[in-house]
Amino acid sequence: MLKKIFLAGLLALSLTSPALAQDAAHHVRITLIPEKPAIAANETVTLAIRQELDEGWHTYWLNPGDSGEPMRLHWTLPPGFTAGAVEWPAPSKIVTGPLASYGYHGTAVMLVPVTAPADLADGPVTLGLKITALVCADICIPETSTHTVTFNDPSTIADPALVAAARAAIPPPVDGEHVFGEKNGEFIFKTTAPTPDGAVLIPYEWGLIDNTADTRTHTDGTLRHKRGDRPLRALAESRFLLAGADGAAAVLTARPDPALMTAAPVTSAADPSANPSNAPDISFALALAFAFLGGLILNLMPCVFPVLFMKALSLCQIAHEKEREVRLQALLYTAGILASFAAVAGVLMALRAAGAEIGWGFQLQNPAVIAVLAYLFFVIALNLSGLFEISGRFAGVGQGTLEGLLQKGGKHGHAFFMGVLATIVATPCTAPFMGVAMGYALVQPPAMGMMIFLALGMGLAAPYVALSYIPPLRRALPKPGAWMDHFRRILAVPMLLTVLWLAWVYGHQTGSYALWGGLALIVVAALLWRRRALALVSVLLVAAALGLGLYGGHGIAPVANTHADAYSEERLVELLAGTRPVFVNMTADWCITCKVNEKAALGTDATRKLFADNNVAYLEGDWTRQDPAITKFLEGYGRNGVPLYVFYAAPDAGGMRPEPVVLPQILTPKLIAETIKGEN
Amino acid sequence: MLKKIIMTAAVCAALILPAAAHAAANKAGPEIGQPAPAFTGTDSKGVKHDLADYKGKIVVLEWHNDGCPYVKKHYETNHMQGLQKAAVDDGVVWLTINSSAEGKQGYFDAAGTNELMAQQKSAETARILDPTGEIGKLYGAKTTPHMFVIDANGALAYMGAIDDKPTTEKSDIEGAKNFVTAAIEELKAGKPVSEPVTPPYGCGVKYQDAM
Repeated sequence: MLKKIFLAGLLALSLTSPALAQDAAHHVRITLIPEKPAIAANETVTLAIRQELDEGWHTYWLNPGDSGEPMRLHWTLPPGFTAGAVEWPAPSKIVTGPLASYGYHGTAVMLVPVTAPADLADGPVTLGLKITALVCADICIPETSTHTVTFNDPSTIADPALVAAARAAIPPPVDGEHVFGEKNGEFIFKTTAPTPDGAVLIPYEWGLIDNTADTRTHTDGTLRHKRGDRPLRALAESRFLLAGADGAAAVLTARPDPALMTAAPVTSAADPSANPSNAPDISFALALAFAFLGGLILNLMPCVFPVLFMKALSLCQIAHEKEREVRLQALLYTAGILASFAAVAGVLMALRAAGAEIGWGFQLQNPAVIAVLAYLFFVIALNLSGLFEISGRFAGVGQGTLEGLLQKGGKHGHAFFMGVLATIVATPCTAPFMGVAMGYALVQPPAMGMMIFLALGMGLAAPYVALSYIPPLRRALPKPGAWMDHFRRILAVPMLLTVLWLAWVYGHQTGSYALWGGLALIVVAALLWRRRALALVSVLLVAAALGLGLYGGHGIAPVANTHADAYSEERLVELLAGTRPVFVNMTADWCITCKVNEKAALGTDATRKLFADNNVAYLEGDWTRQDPAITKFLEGYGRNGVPLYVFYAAPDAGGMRPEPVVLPQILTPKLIAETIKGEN
Repeated sequence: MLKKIIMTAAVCAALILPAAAHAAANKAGPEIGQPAPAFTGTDSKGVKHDLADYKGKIVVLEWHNDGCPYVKKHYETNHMQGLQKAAVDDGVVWLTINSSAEGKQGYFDAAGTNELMAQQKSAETARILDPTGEIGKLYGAKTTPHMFVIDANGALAYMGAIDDKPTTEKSDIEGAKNFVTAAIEELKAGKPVSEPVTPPYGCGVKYQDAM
């Protein structure tokens, strides 16, 4: 292709009169050649601007990259004539040390259309053009040349083949839906058009990408490129060149996507007290560390408390066993956690790969899962409270219990099961640091993503493992005794609270009370279980309860989320276009951290007053059920779970909003106040 | 027992958190509103300048290469010298930085630099020699002239072009909007810089080849 242009160019050069040839002292020789020799009234004729460069020298594309300047045209047009915009062939990336530019070596042909007026007089008409071009090798020299083209004159030499070849080399526009945004210090480009292998993205505008970096095609099909210096916020539509490894290029006109538009590395005003962006820009190693830490903290979250208590019990029981046995159990407990995390993460990643807009905690968006969990917790609670024992044949502490039964099946199975249980109850709680790591995990290649989930599991298992492997810690534990029976009854309380909460979530999800009926059936089943003759009835009742729970989850339409503060993309965009500060709360009924925050910090009178005093607009996104719009928003902040709190401060005097502030996942009224008053 | 787990977790968190937060903040390139990258440079007179010493003052960084036509545009018209003098008289610290590597366009040793400065009648606080490109790369300086303005608190307040006419035409200086002057004025008035990032223009900084 290039060769063809070059040949055509040579041909044109040999045909062009010597007067048009440029000074040989120039490093770029420019000729102006019309497509045809004549122009009629109202007609548009294309001119070729052919640049022939000395070896080692280059000129620049429309976006010159890190340095340089594109060719500029200064017309002297006859009355009524107009000249259009220059069309540029695809540039090469020219790397010099730590800088990268976009430009041309060798020969390049640009096109520019000129249009004659309606009242064009007969006879020759001459257009004058002065071109300034910066031409660089190691050093840069601005070169100026003047050119003329005379139409409707017998001496005019045109070159339709040169123009046709040049036109074929101009990247064509591509239809489709093209959007851009940024995340984690990366520029993101999303298109419905097919992207070529080894795609390279080159923006027509400055500062969007780091020109020295390479474009990579992400597993989700988007193109990613390290960000440049320029804030994206003020950008409207922008053009991009998409080139393939084979050199073929196309032009895509893209618009900013508010959902992708987060965490600009540069904010409007230079306010040193401004909050740095909280959006994660983290390495793989750091994500692993965050995940581990998140797992560790998960041990302390409200929804894991009951299991933590049960773990505490079992630690007491094994405290005085043989070292080897203790360690084996710790390993099995860890294996149980890791296997469950691997299973849940595997399903999550597979569903996402299949295109589902879901995130961490997705299991709990399904009422059937809630129902089963509620029953499970209820059975555990009833057992702990001593209302029934799974087997009456065993006497003694810890023998007729759930754990006892499991121990009958093998101590090892018990340890593994405890790990699984810990994971199951942990899912509703996105601990601090987990959000960041999970968001990161889900945009990584599957193997790396899985490692992050496993690191999370390791964190969850860590305290128990530490106790098992450090005998002095274990010896400090109290000895088993009658006190454990009393303690077990106390433990039933958090379990029952968990059941109440799950039933409430179920009610919100389905608008159905079926689960309460199911729970009642479970109580009866538990009472009947004591009589061995009626055990079968008891099992049937449990089956009926399960059926009821699943049925309730299907039969009734969910309650629509229509309250005034409900989040929608349109509503957020509308509010952000205004001048009010905006507080976005992404929550879910099954997210206990969310509910605690709402009770203890967001819902307090002081906070309400604070919002009112500062005219803060409040938006709440309810992710209790699946909602792709909310999933998208979460992803915009590198998250895949709730809670997420984002505060958009009011615009400054220049009409620009400072960087949105992502609040931590544990809120306090003081923290909210500081954020809103900009003191944080 | 439970207490112990909580304590362990808390201790772990306390140990890991600050390190993690620091690593997360450690992004490439300077950012508006963030502390300007710290550096110490030696000027043509052999004097060391530590950016931290200028806390409390506005600091302007100007990337320089006297052979670059864009730089010539501003020096041969005495425009840059005028900006330097006005700023320095106003209490601003103006550091002109030369990141041209030895053997590249615009490189001068200390003596050559002093000679050049006398010839230019330049009026900056000091001209810092950065032939290794260390300071240039720290700031991601791309062009000559690439301009940076640091506020009195040491935070980066402006980065980009000197003005809004990215050409080598001397006649374009008049009527151009000078972003550096505007940034200094806004900072002096206690206002945020209204255009904190603009596209830098000029020749590429003539860095060392071997990176």
